[in-house]
Amino acid sequence: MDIPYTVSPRLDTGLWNAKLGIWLFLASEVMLFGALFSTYILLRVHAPESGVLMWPKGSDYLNIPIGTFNTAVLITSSITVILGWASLVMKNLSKFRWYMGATILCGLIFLGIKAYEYNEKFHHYGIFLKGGTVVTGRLVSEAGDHAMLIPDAKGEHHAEPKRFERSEIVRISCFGPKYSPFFAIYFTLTGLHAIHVFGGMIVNAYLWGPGTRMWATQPARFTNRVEVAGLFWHFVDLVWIFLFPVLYLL
Amino acid sequence: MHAKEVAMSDTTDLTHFKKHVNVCIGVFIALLVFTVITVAVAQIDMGKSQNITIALIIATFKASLVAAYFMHLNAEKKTIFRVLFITFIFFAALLFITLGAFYDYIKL
Repeated sequence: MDIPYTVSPRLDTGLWNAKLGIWLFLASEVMLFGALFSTYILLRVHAPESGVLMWPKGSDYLNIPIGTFNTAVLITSSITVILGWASLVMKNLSKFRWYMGATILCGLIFLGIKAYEYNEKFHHYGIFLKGGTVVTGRLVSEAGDHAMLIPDAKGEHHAEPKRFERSEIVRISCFGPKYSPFFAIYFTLTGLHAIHVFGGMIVNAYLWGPGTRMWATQPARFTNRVEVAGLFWHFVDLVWIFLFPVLYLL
Repeated sequence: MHAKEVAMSDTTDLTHFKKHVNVCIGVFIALLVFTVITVAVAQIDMGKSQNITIALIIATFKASLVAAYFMHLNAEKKTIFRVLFITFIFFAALLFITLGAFYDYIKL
């Protein structure tokens, strides 16, 4: 028995089922990311105007050229997924595989760059001192009585390791989620987004690989599957279009 | 427009479909250009709230291009718009609830 309305539209909704289904799912995703964006607004507006927990400018901690490149990668993956779907509509399976392959590759590049950025953050430290200041740089060593750090050198090429006694240290933290509210919301938003990219890539990889079996028997239904997977992928791109300026540029 | 209609259509529909694909390629180029514009404008210090406003206006414009053309919303059925309208109401309510925190400060 065939699943009804996979290709032909239902009379009441005017849509085939998966089209309505994916849009309902995307509506729920809007609420998920919306909740986190409202958290961002709350954290940012309530951040102190001065001191170590003052809300930083994105460029203080995040690499704008890398973020811009990642944005271009995701936008490119959106057009390749459309061209893949269009190839199926034009009855060209091999072109579809090229374009879907390009989409998956763009997703891998995006995640690879994200992993590099995260790794860089986890190896960058801040020592919060009792005077209410923080010194950032590369941690050399940490012991019971002291910590040694190579401070970030602004304008200088080489900076010497600096020793800090435990008595003057409040806390030491890498630029992970616990460093500050900025990093907490940065990792939450971009981490959840990266999980969505990964999930989308799994679906795209299935459609690129074993999923193409359906093309031989039900080409229109397979084309519709690719279309709804593309809709999810565009949503992931759309979220990043907001994430990038909010976190990196403002 | 969905795949079955196009798959069984005549040359006119395919021509129309190819035109839609070309429009999407144009939108792709526009998105890249506006990404560069977003970054460039962010380098100009116009005051914090002005920078935020302009960046969000550009981001909203880019997002609407993706929604209208890539996600094909500009030709979609009314059912989808009804769903998205309800989503918009709830999203606005979510942000409104967050604003309530500003008027109910807990001083520790």
